[in-house]
Amino acid sequence: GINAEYMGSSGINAEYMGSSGINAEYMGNYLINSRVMATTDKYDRQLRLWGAEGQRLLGHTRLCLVGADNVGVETLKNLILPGIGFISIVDDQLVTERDLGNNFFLAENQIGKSRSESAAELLLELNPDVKGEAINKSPSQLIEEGKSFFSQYQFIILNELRDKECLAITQICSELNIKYAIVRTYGLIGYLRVFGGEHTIIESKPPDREITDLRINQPFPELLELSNSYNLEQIELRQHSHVPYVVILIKALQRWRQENDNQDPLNFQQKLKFQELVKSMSLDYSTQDNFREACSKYYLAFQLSNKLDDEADEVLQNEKVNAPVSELNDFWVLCKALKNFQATHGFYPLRGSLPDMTTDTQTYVQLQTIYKSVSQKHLQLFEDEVKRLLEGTNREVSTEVIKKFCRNIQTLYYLRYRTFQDEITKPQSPSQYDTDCYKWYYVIRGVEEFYQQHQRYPGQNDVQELQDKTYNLMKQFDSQIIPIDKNLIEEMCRFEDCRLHTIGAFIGGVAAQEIIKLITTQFVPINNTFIYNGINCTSTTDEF
Amino acid sequence: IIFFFFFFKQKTAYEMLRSLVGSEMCIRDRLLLIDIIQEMETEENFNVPRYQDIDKLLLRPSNFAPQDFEPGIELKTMFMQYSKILVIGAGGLGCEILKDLALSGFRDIHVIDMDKIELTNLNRQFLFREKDIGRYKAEVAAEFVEKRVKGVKVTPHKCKIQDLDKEFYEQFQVIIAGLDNMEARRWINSMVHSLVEYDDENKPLRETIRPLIDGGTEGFRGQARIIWPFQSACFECTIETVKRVGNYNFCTIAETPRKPEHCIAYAQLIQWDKEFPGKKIDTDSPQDMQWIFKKAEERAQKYGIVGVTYMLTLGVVKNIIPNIASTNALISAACVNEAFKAMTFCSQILDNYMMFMGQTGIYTMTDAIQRKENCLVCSVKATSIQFTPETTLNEVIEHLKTNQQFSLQQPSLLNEKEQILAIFNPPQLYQLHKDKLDLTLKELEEKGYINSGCKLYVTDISLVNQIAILLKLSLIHI
Repeated sequence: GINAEYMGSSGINAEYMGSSGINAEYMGNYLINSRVMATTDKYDRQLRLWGAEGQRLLGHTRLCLVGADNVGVETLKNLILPGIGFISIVDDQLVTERDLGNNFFLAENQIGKSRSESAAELLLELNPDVKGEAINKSPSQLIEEGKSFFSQYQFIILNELRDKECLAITQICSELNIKYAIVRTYGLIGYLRVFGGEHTIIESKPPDREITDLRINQPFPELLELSNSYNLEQIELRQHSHVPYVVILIKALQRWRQENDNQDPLNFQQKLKFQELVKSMSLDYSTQDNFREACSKYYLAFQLSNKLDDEADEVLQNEKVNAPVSELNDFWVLCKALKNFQATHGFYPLRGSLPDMTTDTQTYVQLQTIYKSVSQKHLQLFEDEVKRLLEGTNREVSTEVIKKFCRNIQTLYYLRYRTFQDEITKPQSPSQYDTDCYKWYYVIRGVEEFYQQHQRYPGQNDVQELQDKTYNLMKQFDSQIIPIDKNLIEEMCRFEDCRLHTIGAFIGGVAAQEIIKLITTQFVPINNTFIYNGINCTSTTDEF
Repeated sequence: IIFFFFFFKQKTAYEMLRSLVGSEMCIRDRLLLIDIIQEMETEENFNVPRYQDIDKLLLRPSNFAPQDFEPGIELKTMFMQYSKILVIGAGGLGCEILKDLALSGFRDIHVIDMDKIELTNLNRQFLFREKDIGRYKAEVAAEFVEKRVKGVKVTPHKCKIQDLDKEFYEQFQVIIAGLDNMEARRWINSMVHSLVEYDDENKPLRETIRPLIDGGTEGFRGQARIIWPFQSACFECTIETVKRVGNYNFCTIAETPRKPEHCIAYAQLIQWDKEFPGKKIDTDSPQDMQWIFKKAEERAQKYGIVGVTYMLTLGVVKNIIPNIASTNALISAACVNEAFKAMTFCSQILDNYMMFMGQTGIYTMTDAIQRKENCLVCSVKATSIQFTPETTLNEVIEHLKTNQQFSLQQPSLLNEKEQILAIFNPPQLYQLHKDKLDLTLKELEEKGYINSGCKLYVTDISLVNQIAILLKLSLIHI
């Protein structure tokens, strides 16, 4: 039956069962873990990336691998190890000698046996938490069964399938809103195409970007009160060195406004002057860490509370937000509520977390408490707005989800994927013409057309025909386009029918990573094609 | 290329041939060589369906391969018969690398790892099962791969890389490292450089230049690089860019803790030593870790700090880096792909570094890292250091330890006359020479040990070969 618990980002319960049978409750940053006496959890190293909620979503996913070729099997290995819920491997072929040369999960003692059963056996032993099965059917049989087969899964991996089968299967998937990935290798070239439908993200978790929301520019009353309690001119050095940079910047901005007609610094030059002002407020700059922090983070003084960063803002600008609630899923309802909140109050809800900063413990805890309590107030107001929007409907969004949304408004993200059918039947001009990706993409398109026509891969005698096909495909966007470098065509013909283990292993890693992002709705997946060039160890991503 | 393989397997035969005809190989010997090769070809037949995918690369020419690429049965036979490769590490990267090598035509693989299997390895180190916990990684990995891929021999070494000598490392044409720490990378880098031999004109012998391929991963990030000793940038060239482990400010930990991490660090670095002087924390012991967790909780409570969890405690004390199967898989695959190309020349080779970032979209950057002019390992030019004459020898040693350019562990110093200036092992030698440590450079100069502009020879366990440093005395410290 259909697993109705997987509903995308509407995370339910943050309870996660550790592999050694001990109930390990991971409840996020602010609460205390129940004491676990065992050493550590098998999944420890990955929980630190996607947390208990991400792990739960992964563990509730049913995924189907169509075809037991190396690249898809490698992808599956990288999903089984971290604990995906249930897998089906579909293949009607038998294990051959060739498989032994490029597939780690088909073994010598399985030659002549069912490929799907053999792979399933060797893959499932990787992780006893994962359940699965082998199905001895061909892709065409699955296509015939259609919706009744595919609707059992949330994700499909199309493994080394040609365009014809890919088009048929992805058609069914798109209608059911099932996500999919196409994985293929052509000699030293690896190819991945993902489809994530309408993909909304709350925790995009951008690396190397500290999200701060300190309201220095327009401090709320409690913050202003704390800042006013400091008189920088009168306190002695030790206390002066423990004034948190939040207060330093508030005071610096106040002074600037006094001296500049109540204006904020307008251009870069003025902002640098502001930075100098901050520095001048120190007593002994070289030893006062708090002032050095204030100087290096001076730009936080210009962060406005009624503005979000570009990517998050783009989400709120989406036309969906203006549609009636009845047409929207939870994510968009929350976006709508957020937009209304800002319109009503003139600011966005406060994030509430405080980064570390040089100050004494008491002040830090005091500051932390202030930010937490104000953000709690805002959360309450936000929750009220959500309830107001859903009044009269039977719908409800859990407090947990509202809280997660409210805390992460700066990292909202939205991706809309083109279907594979559209890509092939309504091709659109790529964003860049000169990249590796573009060139190899069209060679791959040429190979697929060739295969469609001749039922085999182009070989060393087919160079001209492959060149013509590739060139014709490229010409449809730009009739003036220069023919592709013949070296690429010849190299592809050199490969002919070549499925190398390493290239499959590379794509297997990348594909599994993207699938995990799509399942956990954390981080940002690619949209929609990734090509690995094993000739010169480069890669590119593009939307086709 | 064939000559390259021949060098390794038939070293004695080659030496014999060489003694017959001198240092040049003439046509007669080349024909002799081909005879021997054809003889060897009959020993094992690699013309089977199993290798049909690799065949496309080894038997067919390519416009992307270097000029000296000679596709054909000879190359394939030599490669599959005589390639010998070393894998360092049998963990997250190592397991993947072994699998990839076994399915890329490599049949004689060695692997070094001194660690034993733990529970938290199992989410990515797929050659291990729960029943293997406690066994040596190298052994279990070797067993598994040999059993799964017929015809492949994997020899495990359950020891430290430093326990093996030049003679050991010399047997391999390529070395792939899947390590997780800077010290080991540094050491193996200096080892491969020390294997390079020179001809009469002081030019490096091509067949002794063994590439070192190095992979690393962290969360969604990874990198793969290839080091050609004395040809390309080496690990030491980039030592200053290596990210150091973040430490918390001591004052913060001791006096003004604010975050739960500070409380944990306090328990780990201050309270533990007070309670158990001389005893080292066993980060794998639940008892030790629970003790630290409890103490950290108490401190947090005292200061009103929220957020101390057992998971966080482990993360801080063990300096845990998140690690997942997918990143390990792709970085290993990239490394082995390069190893395959480096051995067979069937295509272009990475020049010389790829960085992978997969958290937000996917971004890879491939670039050629430049050699460092005064690299301690691979450059001819000696690094110079400059001190005031009042600097003591002890301070010089400290500089060599703490300065990022050197980061040595416990360097001993010799002067140009091979006299010992400073030495720390064995204890007898240390006793004999320790008085010099308190002398200033001026005093050492007066005694005739050094002078400004002289060379010092430094030995340290982080590097295999001795390094030369130019010492300058001046009024300013550099």
